[in-house]
Amino acid sequence: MKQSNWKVLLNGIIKENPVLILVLGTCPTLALTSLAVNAVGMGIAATLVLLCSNMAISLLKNIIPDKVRIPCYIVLIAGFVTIVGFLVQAYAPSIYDALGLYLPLIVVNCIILGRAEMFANKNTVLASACDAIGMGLGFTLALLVMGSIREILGAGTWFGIQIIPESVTPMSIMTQPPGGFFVFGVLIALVNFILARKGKKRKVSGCGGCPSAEHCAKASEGGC
Amino acid sequence: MKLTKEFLIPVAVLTVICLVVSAALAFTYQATAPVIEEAKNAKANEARAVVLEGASGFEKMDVTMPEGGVDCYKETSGAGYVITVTTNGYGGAFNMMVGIKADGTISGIQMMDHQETPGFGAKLAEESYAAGYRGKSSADFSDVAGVAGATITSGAYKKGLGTAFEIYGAASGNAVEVPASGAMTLEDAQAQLFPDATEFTEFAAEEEITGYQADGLGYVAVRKAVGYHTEEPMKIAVGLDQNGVILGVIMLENHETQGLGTQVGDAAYLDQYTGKDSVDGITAVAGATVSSDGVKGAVRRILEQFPSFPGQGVKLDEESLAAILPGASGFEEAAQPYEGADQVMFASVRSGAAVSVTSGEVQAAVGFDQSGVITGVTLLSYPDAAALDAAQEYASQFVGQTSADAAAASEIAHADSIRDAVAGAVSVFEAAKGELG
Amino acid sequence: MSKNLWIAPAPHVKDKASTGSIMLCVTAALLPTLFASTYIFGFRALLLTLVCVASCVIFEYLYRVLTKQSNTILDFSAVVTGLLLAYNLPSTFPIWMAMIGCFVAIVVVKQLFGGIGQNFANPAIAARVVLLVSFSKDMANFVIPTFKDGVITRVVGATPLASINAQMPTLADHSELMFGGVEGVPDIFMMLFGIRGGSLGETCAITLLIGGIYLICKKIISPIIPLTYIGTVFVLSWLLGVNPVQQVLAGGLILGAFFMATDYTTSPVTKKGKYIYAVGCGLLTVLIRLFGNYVEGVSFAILLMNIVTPLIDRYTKTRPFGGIAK
Repeated sequence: MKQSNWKVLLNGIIKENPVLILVLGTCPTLALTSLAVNAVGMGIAATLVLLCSNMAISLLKNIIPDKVRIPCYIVLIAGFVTIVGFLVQAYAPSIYDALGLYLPLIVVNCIILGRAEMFANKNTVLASACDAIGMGLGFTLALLVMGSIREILGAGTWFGIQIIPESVTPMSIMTQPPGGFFVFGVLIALVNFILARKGKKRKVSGCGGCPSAEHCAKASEGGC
Repeated sequence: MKLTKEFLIPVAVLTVICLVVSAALAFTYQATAPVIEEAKNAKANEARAVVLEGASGFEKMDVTMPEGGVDCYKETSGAGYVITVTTNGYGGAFNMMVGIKADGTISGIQMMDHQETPGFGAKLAEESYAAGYRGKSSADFSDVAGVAGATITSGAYKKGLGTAFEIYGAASGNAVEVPASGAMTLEDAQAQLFPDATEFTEFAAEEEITGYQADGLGYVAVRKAVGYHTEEPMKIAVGLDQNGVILGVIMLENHETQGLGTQVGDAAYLDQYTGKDSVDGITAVAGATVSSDGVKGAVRRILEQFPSFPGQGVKLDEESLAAILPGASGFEEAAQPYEGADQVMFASVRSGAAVSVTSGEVQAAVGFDQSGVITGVTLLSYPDAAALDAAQEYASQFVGQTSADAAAASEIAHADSIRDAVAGAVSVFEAAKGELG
Repeated sequence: MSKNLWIAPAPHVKDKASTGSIMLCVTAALLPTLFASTYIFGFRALLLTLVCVASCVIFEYLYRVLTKQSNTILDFSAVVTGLLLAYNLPSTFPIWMAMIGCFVAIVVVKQLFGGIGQNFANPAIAARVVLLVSFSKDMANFVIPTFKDGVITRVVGATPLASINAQMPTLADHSELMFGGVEGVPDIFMMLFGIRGGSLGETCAITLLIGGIYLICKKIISPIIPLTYIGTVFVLSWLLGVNPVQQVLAGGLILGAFFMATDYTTSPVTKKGKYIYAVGCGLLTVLIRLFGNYVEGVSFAILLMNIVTPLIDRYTKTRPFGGIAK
């Protein structure tokens, strides 16, 4: 069932948001959302990598033999991450410092490998590109929302601007791991609640209920 | 054929991809490396220019770095130095770039690569905080307050500044003043508390207090105060007048945390004690609770022991003098204090002396005639009012003696103290009888 | 014949006890401490407690209404949670922060997991830990009362545990801590009657003990957990060279041991399990107090042991009557 490319893009933002629905890429989500500006930086870097890797893998999908497809994907993704890393370090050094270790860790970000496996190796370059942009945007948006909530509640600022008056003590647990997990859980619950209200019943288990069923190779084989 | 398809092609494809990716990486690296290097340098120089006003260019200096030093750059037109140091904060190590002008004062500070907690430790990286250090020299930068709730980061910040000054001293050859920790020698403290006293007689007191009688004007009590750094306690000197009112508290030794605990050595905190006779109502220094409590506790112990200081206790009055030196009159205080005695008074025409001594919980007044024979003993202070009469009777056995050696055994409480007091009075008389002429 | 045979549905043996009556007993056991803390810490302690109790009840009511579930406020468990949370706060704690704590205790720890009987940790303890991490400065803003000539004066300062903590150089040099006076720690009588620094419900040992003994006599709690917990802390402190009596009376140990560690849901069911649980609590408390960065170890110890309780239950399961031997 091929969707239009535009729909593919929108898919990644809401219906199949990688962080809140597919629950992929939770590591950088929890680690880099203590400040909103870091969240956005990570989102953009990951989107760039996702775009390049999806397009490359889609281009090469007929050449790469099935046996070695995972090592090939990893080499490609690692290459792109390193290149993006160099570029960020050269032209946006402050973001580079903020991302720190998590920039090279984009290589093992589940979203990238996941989309390569689930979409890019079965679809055209253009469709893969749209999927990458959509997923990347969804990722960035989710991170932005989480980062904003955590920064405002936990430090009283947003992108460094003092939002909550200085006299009110912020709830510093929000910028720490327990707060991160809590906000993450609440966001996922909220998204589920909204989707349930819209009538999207996810009571069907197995391939029928999985939102990625349309693109999954295993669906035709009968499930994971 | 199958072999080729199964093994050779996948291997070939993977190898080609690896080669292509490596080439791309190498190319990008080559292209961006100079940009990155330049950006780093520009950023560093920019940071240096921010930190040292009026800077035009920098050259690196080759100075041996103490622990925590990273690099030192001298400004080419002689405006000063920019020194980078590293120090351990709450979230790990961070770098500080310190600009020190040619006159040895701080021109600017930048906190870099830090992972301190936003809202607490990160507040020290703000310009508004660093501005508080402008113009400070190595002697007074520790006076600037830290940030509440960010003790560790504040301490690390100050430590970094200290290292920067050390490097500055080595690089410029200028002498670097050591920050005054408010410490003073004992002699200076005594002189400051009792400017009119000429002689200080040492005496020992309970509770690890060393006391000095200031010529009859008062006392200087010296004791240790255990604060935050318990292995190196502080030492304070408390000046007291004859009524137990504090004339002043002076810090003799202070090894507390620079900039935090050391504040308890400042006049702002210690002046609170002046004029008081108890430690009620003393407010601690914000952020230095344990150091403040240490000083307060030591002062409290000194005040508690004050009644047992020589010269304190019940004063000899007419009634008691009449009881021990009947017939004598015209009593005058001795010209100088005598060790071991609370009070020494001489009768007119030096016909006798009255000595009051405290031993344990008993204070006794003993009267002597010119030849040292005890003319009377009266108990000025005795802990058990009900047994006073019996104790007084016991004490009167010494009348007519010249020493307390022949004391009879007795079952009354504090008999030992009475005997010791009389013995003490005898030895004071020995020392004082020169004044009798 | 039919007169002698009477068929009725279960239960056939009923006890007077219900959740509500048990919680009311616990509330009654906690009341003497409320009077003591109002006397020692002033009117603000009473105000804070009332606000906590009211907030807890209101939050529980609202949550049950909004999620269309049965109303449970009449089981008074929210009241008990409110009291216990308030007792864990310093009397100077801002009201709005206390309300956030109540929200965390009732909505997050208790209701989100399924309501009473389903909480993974004691709600009051979990909320206290959240507040400690979120608002550490305000949670450490203790008032130190001193008693002189019948009047209580209050100053801001360090609690006995903080003073002991600050004066512990190395483990080798503790003789003064054991037998001498420690600066900032009042004598035993002051500690027993609560005239010391600390959160508003933890200081008065006498009223807490009265409440605890009352609950034991009424068979609402078993004496195993509180006695083993306190005993472990006593013995371990002694072995490690600090004054054990001070360690028992300082901090929130008595409050935690009698009222929070004994929560039915979050402590083991079997006797053996209770012993293991209590020893674990005691061990963790002493370790955190003496070797950890935090001054007070009770909250974290109880929280950690709450989380481990299901594991303890699993390994101390008794064989059901008539069941197959393992």
